[in-house]
Amino acid sequence: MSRPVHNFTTATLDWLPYIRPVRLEEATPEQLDAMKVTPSNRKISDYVLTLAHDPESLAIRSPLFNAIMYGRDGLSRAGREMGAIATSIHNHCIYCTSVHAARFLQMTGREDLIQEIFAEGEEAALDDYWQPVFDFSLKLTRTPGEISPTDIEILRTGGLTDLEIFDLVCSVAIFGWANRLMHTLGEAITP
Amino acid sequence: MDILELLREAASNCPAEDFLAQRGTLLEMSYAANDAVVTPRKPGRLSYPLRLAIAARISGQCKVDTLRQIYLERLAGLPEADEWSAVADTSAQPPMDTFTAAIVAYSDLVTLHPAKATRKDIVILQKSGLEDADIVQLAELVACINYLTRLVPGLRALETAS
Repeated sequence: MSRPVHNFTTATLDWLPYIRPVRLEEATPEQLDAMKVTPSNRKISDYVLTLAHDPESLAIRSPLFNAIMYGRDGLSRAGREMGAIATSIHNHCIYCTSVHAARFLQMTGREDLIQEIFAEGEEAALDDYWQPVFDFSLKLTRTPGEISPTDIEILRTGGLTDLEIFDLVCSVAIFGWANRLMHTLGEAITP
Repeated sequence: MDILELLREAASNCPAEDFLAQRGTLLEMSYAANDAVVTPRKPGRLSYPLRLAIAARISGQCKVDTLRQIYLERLAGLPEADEWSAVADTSAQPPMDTFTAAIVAYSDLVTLHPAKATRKDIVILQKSGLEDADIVQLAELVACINYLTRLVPGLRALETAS
């Protein structure tokens, strides 16, 4: 039987909405379009079916998310995932953390970093490349109004180009959005 | 100035990289996202002035004054502005009807302490008269403004550091 998950993990999880998702058979044309439902794609997650209550936002957010996380050039995929992880740790989004920590592991094999983050949370001690990326992501998440050129300089000193820094900003920002949907409209559960 | 102008201006002032060529589409998508939550084609039961007031409130809580001014100016241009200015103002706790009070309480919690949000907070919205579509629209509004309140200061710090 499925049960809520409260601790960070890289295990595959399910998501249980707190409100009734849109029923696919009752969806309007606008909702079907926002969910990208086609005759060959009718397997839609409860998360997407829940967000389909607001098709106008869903239709815009999905491509924006993909552009930020999978866009060409700039910050590495792993770098974008680290922004997602730091943000999701602070916002305590168990589901987002599980997905993006697992992806970071697939790309880097750095089990040591993920275990340190899960054990120490926002106080995690990482290596010379990842520490400034992690710390910047947390600061932008916690106190966005206090981000300053000094914070940018720290990332530059760590070897990031300005385009890579911008991509990190976008990753942190989009998870400030995603966490506030995933963590507040439902909860992570065991499969 | 609107949000797209704000983003484009900051990006164009970052000389180290040609941001507008490489990430201009992303800025336009962010602007479209703002429109979709603040002035959607179908606002449902969350009116434009309510949405603008909540957006200004969140921007103030996140200390992103440039965004807050944009929302306040748009709110001021609406005939119902006076009715909603108290919601935009975080310094006072004005009397509100149950529906509005629940929306403001959810927005404050999810903006300032998202980790503390639980099923109970959704139940409170439901008991205050919000239906499923209202709740998802509210969640998208609050979440998207929290996106913009990270994007704008991050980009502007890059601009200043240039």
